[in-house]
Amino acid sequence: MKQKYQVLVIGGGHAGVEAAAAAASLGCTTVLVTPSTEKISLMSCNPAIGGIAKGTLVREIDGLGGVTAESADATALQFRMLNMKKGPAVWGPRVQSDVDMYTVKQIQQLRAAGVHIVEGLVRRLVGPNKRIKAVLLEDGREIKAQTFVLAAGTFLDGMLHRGQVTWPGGRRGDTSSVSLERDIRKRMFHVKRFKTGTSPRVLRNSIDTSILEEQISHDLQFRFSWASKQGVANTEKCWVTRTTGETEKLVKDSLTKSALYSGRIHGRGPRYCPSFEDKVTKFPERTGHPIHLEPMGKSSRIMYLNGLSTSMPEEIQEKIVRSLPGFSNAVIAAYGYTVEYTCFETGEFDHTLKLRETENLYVCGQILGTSGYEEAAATGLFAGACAARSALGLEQTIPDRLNSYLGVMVDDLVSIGTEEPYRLFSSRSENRLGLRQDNADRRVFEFAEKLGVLSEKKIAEYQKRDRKYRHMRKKLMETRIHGKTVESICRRPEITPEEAGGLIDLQTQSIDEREILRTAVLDIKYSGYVKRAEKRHSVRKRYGSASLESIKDYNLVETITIEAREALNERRPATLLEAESIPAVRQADLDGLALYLMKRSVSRET
Amino acid sequence: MEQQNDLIVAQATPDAVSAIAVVRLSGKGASAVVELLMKLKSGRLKGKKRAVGDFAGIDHIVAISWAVGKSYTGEEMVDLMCHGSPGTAGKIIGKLLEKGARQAQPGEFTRRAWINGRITEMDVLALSSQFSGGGRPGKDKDLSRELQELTSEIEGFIEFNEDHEISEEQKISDLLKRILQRTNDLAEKVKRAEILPKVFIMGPVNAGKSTLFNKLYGKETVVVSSTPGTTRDGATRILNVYGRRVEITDSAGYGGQRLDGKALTISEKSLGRGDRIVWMDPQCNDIPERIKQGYEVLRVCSMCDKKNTMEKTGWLSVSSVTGQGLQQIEEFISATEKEGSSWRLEKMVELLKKAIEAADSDVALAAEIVSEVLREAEEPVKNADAVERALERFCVGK
Repeated sequence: MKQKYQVLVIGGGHAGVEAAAAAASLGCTTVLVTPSTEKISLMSCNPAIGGIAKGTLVREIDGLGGVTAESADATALQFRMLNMKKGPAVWGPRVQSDVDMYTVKQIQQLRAAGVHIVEGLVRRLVGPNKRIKAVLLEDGREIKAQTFVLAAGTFLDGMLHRGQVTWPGGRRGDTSSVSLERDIRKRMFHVKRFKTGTSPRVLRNSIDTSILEEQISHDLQFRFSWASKQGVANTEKCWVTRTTGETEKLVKDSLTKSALYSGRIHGRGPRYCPSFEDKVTKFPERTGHPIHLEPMGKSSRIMYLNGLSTSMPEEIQEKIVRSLPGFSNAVIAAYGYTVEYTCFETGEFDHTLKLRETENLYVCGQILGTSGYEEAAATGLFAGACAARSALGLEQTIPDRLNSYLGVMVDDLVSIGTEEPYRLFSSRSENRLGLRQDNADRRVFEFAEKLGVLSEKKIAEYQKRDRKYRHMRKKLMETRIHGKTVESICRRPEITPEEAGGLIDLQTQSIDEREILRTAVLDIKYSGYVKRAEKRHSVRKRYGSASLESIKDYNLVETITIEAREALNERRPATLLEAESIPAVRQADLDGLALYLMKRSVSRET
Repeated sequence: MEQQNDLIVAQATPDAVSAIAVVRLSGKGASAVVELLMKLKSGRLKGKKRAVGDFAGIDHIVAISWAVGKSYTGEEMVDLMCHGSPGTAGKIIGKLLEKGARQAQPGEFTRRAWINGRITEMDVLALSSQFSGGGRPGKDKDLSRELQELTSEIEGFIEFNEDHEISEEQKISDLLKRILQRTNDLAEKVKRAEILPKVFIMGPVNAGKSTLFNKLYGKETVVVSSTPGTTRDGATRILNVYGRRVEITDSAGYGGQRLDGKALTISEKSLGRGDRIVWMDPQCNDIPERIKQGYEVLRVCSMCDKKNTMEKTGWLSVSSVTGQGLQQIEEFISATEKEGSSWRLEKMVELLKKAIEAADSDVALAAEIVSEVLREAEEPVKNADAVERALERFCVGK
């Protein structure tokens, strides 16, 4: 191909789509290379978007001009707000999605953004590591670009496992990217192997749902995106069943037949999204694990069994599924399996998600070591924007971990690293009461503007909401009830946002306004905690400027790892902040250094 | 002041006739010095070793050595067990001093343990409370660990409960209450151990000192401590002024028309760095030079409600009758640099109460409050002064 693109994205999954859309929104000529257009943004695991912290991240994606939120709204079948009783900061919006329609919607959004889609499998990168020039496809085509985003998901030398059977593939029914993986290894990037699994799917008509507990949907007029004008649909039913003692016994008796437990898989799996084999092994005394029955689409014949991820042989999977109440005649439409894949080692990429060895290759999604559609989408958006900024010769900007889950995730992946697929949790943030789903757009707006991903229309819409917000804050401050301002009443723990909102005269009618008022009240409620988190954060930043020049020999600093001692002796950074950028120096080492400096100052004083 | 790991020595057992006495030696070269004096092979006491034999012709002793990082102080350390006959330990110490060791100051071993990260601030305070009969310290070490466990329990509840039902709301609330109980107990214990900042009300007789004292004491709604022993005499009280625990002494008993030198010396003996003096005199006479220079003094022109009272720059006009100036006195009292340490535990108690309140409707908020509690518990050197003062209470050798 003659045309040279500004940004080329390899992979059409949740990360790749956001990367391409973000690059295009910055005005770059963008091409997305995927083996199969019809599988763009395919939900290869559970048919749902959102969850605790993940749902908040989807709203941040919306605030950053991404496409996931809108597509999730448009294709929702059912909605639940998780953690409703545990405080607004940890509310987790989650929708069931129509898997096919989701793909359609994502393709529409890519086309609208002006992304060029090319079908093909990448064989290898062309050009030296320092500056990649093009990608070579299996069919011999070469596509040139200025910057590249690799979003290969589970496809890099993906191996699927079920029972004693192993076959290559990034996903059921697909091949894997073997030659691209070889190319990456040949280029001496440090890689590791991770694994993740998925559950069997069953035919809807083979299940007796009449005896199952229905999972009640919540009608909150919710939507992930401010662009969606209506609350998401609640048209499909979901059910929940529980494993019986029989289910656990079947799994225990067959553990040696599981691909996971027979020593066939060497990759590291997620602790937090465990296979059923893991659950039974780690909690042997427990029974009655909940299994959620979720439709793959509107009126879909096929239902997903959330909570039953397994790599048992097919005949055992049959028995396991039939041991569930209501499932005695269940027919499996697709068996569960485990996928093992190659991803990059911590330290290979920097805070802009660029591979350190290169000038123009960015990575995102599962090859960073993440798990989940939402994590993939958010890192994709950011990597795509960084690649675009690089192509346009713009200065890079990185998200602050105090203001967004995106910032938390990027910083965690780069600074701390991960030894298992990284799932986002609300507890990974130091500012959880600040990082709520309701205020996501307010938190990320400043960064979104800097990143340059927002259209003029979106900026104008945000500013309109911001004016309303300010107006409400003013009202809350000025309205007095029995001499007390409503603002001070808001702070009382027993006062709900709705109650406080009812005290001021706003005639709020639209769902937008109700939500903005809610945010205004919650911002007041938690402001003290958020301020303290900010203060601690700035202290940490200031710590970063602490001089290390007085340390002559790091071998004497016992509070840090030997690797860090060697690296520090070699690089001799001037400050803690400089030390932070050395890959061998981890967060624990920085704490160790801070402690060492502090102790020495204490012993000098005494 | 001194080099941190220089060689220090002290008797670790009471100076009395006993079966055995223990001399503790800590710092760089501890083993080598003992090896020399016991005529042992060089390196014989390297690491955790035991040696029995003659010590410089003084006594037949048992020496036990520890390696760096393994001992109580975290330094190279040797304990020498000799016979408890009078003078034996003293002679051994004398010999060690000859060889370059230095007599340890009270609490210095424990201070080194603290600085070297062998024990936490809480341990020091709890240890100190053990010495004043406050109970066993061992259990208290685990408070921050227990808080961490509580945190994981809450986090599991927030992140996974929806799918996996790991813990019940009830359980969170019970755990919080249990920790609250423990923190409360520890707070009480530390309160008994800590040395509070002192404020002395001084001045000539009939200056209104006792009136002010009673006024301050009467205003006090919460008597923080009713533990026997904290009230030294009839004129000393522990007050809670703006959240600060302060020991206030009405030194009325010491005064004459002009405070004589002897009385001043007695007061001075109990005064320490950072302590404060409220000097009261309706006549605004010059205050004694030694007080003026040594301490933080608030000059108070008392009885300003009466006629013919003075007004002088640098003097605060106060009336215990009308209440004029009382607030400024309280501010002065509470502005002491020194802080007791129990306030931190008390703060933890207050926070835990708040967390319990929030737990039912807003676990995320409860979690945030618990992490504040944890930060309070783990802050290593936030209040070095309190530790220093607790260390002063140790008998030499601990």
